[in-house]
Amino acid sequence: MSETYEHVAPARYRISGKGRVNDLAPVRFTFDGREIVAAAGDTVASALLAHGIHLVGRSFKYHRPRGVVTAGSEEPNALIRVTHSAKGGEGRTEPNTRATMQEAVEGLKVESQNRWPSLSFDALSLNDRLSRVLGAGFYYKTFKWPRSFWDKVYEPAIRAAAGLGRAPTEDDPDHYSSRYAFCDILVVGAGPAGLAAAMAAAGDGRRVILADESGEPGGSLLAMPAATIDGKPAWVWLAETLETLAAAGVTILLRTTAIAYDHENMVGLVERVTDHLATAPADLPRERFWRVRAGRVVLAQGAIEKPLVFDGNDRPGVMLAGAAQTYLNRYGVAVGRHVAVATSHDSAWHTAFALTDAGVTVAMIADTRAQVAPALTAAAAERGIAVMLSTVPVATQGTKRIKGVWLAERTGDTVAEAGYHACDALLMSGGWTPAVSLFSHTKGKLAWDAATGRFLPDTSPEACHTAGAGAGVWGLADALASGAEAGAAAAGTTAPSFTVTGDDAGTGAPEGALPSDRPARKAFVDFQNDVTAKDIRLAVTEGMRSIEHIKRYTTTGMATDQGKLSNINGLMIAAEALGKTPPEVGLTTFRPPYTPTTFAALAGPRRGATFEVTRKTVIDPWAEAAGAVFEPVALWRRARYFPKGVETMDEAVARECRTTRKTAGIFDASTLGKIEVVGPDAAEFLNRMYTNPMLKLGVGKCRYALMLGDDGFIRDDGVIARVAEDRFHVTTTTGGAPRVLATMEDYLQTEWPDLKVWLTSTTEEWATIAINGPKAREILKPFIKDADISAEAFPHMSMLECSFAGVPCRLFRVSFTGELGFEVNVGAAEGRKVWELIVGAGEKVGACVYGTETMHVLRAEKGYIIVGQETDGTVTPQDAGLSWALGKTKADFVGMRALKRPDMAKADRKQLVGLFTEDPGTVLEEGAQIVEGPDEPLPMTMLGHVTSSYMSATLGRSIAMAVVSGGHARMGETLYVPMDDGVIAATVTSTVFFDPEGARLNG
Amino acid sequence: MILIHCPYCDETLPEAEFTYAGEAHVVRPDPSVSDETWRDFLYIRSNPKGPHAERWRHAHGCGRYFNAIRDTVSDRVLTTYKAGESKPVLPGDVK
Amino acid sequence: MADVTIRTLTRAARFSVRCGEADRTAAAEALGVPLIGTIGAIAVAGPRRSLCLGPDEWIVAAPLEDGPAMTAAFAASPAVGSLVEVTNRDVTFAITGPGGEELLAHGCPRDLSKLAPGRGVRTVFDGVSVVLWRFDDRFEMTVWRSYVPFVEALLSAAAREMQAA
Repeated sequence: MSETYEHVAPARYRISGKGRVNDLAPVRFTFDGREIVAAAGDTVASALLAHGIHLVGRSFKYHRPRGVVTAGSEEPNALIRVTHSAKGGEGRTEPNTRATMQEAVEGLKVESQNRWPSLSFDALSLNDRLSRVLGAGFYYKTFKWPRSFWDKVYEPAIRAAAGLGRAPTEDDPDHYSSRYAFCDILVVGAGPAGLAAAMAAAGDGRRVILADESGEPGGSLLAMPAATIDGKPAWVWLAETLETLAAAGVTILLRTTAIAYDHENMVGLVERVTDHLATAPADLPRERFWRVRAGRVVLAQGAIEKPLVFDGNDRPGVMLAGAAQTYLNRYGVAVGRHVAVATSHDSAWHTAFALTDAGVTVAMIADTRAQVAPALTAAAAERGIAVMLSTVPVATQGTKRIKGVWLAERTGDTVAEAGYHACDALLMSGGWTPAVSLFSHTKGKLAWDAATGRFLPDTSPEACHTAGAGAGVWGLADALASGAEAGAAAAGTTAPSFTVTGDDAGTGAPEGALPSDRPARKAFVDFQNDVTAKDIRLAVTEGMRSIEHIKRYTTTGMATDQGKLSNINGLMIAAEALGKTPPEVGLTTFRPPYTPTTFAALAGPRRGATFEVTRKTVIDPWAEAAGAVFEPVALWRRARYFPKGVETMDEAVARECRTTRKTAGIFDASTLGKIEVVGPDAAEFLNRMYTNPMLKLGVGKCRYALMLGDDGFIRDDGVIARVAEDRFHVTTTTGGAPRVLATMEDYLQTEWPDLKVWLTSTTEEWATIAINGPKAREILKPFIKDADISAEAFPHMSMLECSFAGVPCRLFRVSFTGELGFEVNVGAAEGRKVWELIVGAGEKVGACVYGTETMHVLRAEKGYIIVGQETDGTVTPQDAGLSWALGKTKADFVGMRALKRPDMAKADRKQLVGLFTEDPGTVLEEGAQIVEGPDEPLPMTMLGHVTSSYMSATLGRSIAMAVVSGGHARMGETLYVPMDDGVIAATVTSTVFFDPEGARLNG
Repeated sequence: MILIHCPYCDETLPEAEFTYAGEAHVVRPDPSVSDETWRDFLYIRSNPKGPHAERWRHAHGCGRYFNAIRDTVSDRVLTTYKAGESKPVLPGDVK
Repeated sequence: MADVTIRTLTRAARFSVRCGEADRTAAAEALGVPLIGTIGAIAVAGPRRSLCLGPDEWIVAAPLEDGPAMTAAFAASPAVGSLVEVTNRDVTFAITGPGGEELLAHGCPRDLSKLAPGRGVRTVFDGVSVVLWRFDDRFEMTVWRSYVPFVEALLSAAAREMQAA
């Protein structure tokens, strides 16, 4: 370890004794293969800067060298690819991580992005030279001709060059968590305003959550060690306040970003739980998504500093002044040795003073304003800093790091000849804009403050309060006061007051693009998307009027930082070009998430085995052990087929079908929906809900039942058995069960509340085992001692309650295969035992178990429909050939009236028919379209489509069902199914392919 | 996720417990009505901008269908009432 | 960190009871447990208990062996209503320890601090309908059988996460 340490360049820009990092606790990571020794508490950005590394990436479009601009989550440039090596390989890699947010972690592998082959030499930086032709709207204007180039040349080339970072190729081995939380007051931001708000709100058992995106609470206090609050040094006050809050039961969430403010004070927080740890317990999630429902919310997110807009404002080493102050005071890092400052706001002056006091040379402070507070100029003079008022930067020099800046005196929009000043860092400040994103998520209205060039939060429909710099308040004392007020208002308490010294309060003047003595081609507004002031003016010249159009045309504000640094500058420039005021031009909408968020954080635990709700029957473990192949059906996973040895699906299904028709097959039908309908009006209710007559259904009898919507279209089907005069056992399709119950409840509660009938879902009460085939009764009989299940005593469509080997059982004589069939319903807890008994008995006579695929084939051979496969919400009973199921003499049933509309009886409706392909070996594709003639000119008239299609082992040929326009009158016609590789001819036939007389049912 | 007051449970609860069930006060006509009337019953809805009388079900709760007035602009539920009760008059409603 | 234990309870006889206000007393008498007419109210009578889930709906739990007698008593009573056995449908987890509320917050969008001991509700846990009973020392969460693997996986991951924190 120490060997490599010896060879590593020292952190030459670390100022010993400054900052809150611990350089006695070194943390090693690599940057593009080079080892960097950071101090505990560093971010990747602060550690790189401590080593004098400003160049950290290339820009998106022009591949210009870029450096760290900020010290927070608003960072547009310093996007890195990080791999948590100590925790594993490529799977724990994340692109586009902001170096300003990633804490230095032992073993972290950091790579720069958007460069090839290396950061210092990048092939695509040629784009920078071509920038004259790559301006706004470049894509729309250039890649138009020839047409044939769209797919083959332009798109692949653009796709290869585009994109931010490189996604990892391996699965993410981490897990992610999600939870709800409830509080009386949620405070977003733990800077001075947020801390004061939490102090005011805490106590009396109120539940308070204080969230901050940084690894350390304190916000701007961390960069203001010289201030005092209530007589205590700022950092002492901070430590004591945190203790007080913890003692008062405030939940403090660090590394937690409020990404979205949803309706009724539901705020989404993403907590980064382990990214700052070199190793972590396996059970800890990497990120946790908090859905916090708060009584009231205090937004104290602070303000974001704006860059100045001038030529070359994007060179590595040009950075926001406030960030430099944070690097100095929080991280003990000087961002340069010979620093120039260009500003339009007082705050940068205080940064300059702090740097000078720490031993850094500040060459000059250039301020765009003609006048500043005398105290500032006096303090500058005291420190020997040259002051240049009415001065603007017009250009910079340097490639991988700034070498100097041209400064020029301005008079209004004109400038005098510029002078060159050498520097190794240029700190800029265009003033501060409140972070109003979350406030905007609430549909909160913003008010334009022309004097300061800021949008301020105004009114919101949510119970939220804004405080501190985020509410437009500037200066420590005022921020504390406004936070305390907001917290007190939220909690109904009295606001505490604070005494502050060393407050760097101040003002500034809003600026758009600064005047220049040269054609300012590289005055960047949006660093991340490489949008310049010139691009925005071009967009206006080319006719864009609304900020929404300008945004889309230039892509300003559309990068992953959502224009945190650029929106106001872009708006000012657009407004000036349009000759309008900024509010007339408008501000684009801020949308969640506030900062880039991993998909995994949003997915939470919904991945792998818990990707979605998966329902399993009690027989599922048996099927799994038996080697079943499963398929999802609605939320259920069902055994699709049971391959033996090396059987393919087709082979297994053919065997299962043949065995069932010849001997018997056993099938887990437990997923069938079941509803117990009980009450004196049960029969009347079912008579109204279903098309079939139900009033006279005898006890112990079953009836096929068809449910329509009131629009007359098929919604569900099943079997209804009358268990007692006032009790019915209703089955539904597997997928339809919840919907059918909800529909029944709807009619019952709102249309016929006078009926005395109640509905209970019993889907899960019963395990349902179907036995079908000539030997079904032989298998079943030994288990039923207390009932006669002979063909005479227990005919098709009967049910009885009996004992199955001592287990209470509802036995149905029904069939979905056309064979002699029984359905054994037993309490689910006994389902596995009963299944094994039946399978054991079945094996003795040569029966098999079968899955859903065989079930599908067997029912299709009989022309039995599956709702949702043969029907699609536009199929009537007549279309499906089920007119026989309509109660002809009923006064009403759901859907009856709609069936009388003339359209429902039109001859050309799509009707269900069977299809035999000319070649019996051809299996049509389900969903394939059907046409009248193979040579019909395009576009062909589509008559319908194939709904079900299988190879039938029983018939030794393929069969299909289809809905075809006027199909019932087309028996014997040849129709055609055009496919990519040719046209398939098929003959229209009946849907009953097998045993049309139904003799086998009565076996 | 909005909050909805269930008039049966008399509690204000998260939307996740509820399911939406279409416009309220759409009366199912007697089957003897004209095709046009039946069509209107099936398909014609008011789709207002602003307060909208609609049905919700406390599906993961008491299971009851009830009515709500929800402002389609603000996505706030202004009031809720039991099935069968008449639509309440809200401040600002035109009589 | 708040401790929490999850355990699957042995099977009980369980019934979904439905009836109108007029039949409530008769139904309760037949079942040997009061049916309180306020949603969320739990009534206890010896080993039997009921929870009011809706205006005309209760869930009743009793020792497994009491089931047949309760069915018979309801059938013989004058109460007009519906008694449907759901003994096999329902699987119940007991969640004990001070971390119960936090554990359930991993999937339940309700503020369970407002669910007092002695009350219960039907609610949702990560998309799955569940019935929660709160007692002084525990929550009981009933889910339909087929959802058990899914819900159990979520609960145990959350419990492990709480332990690791």
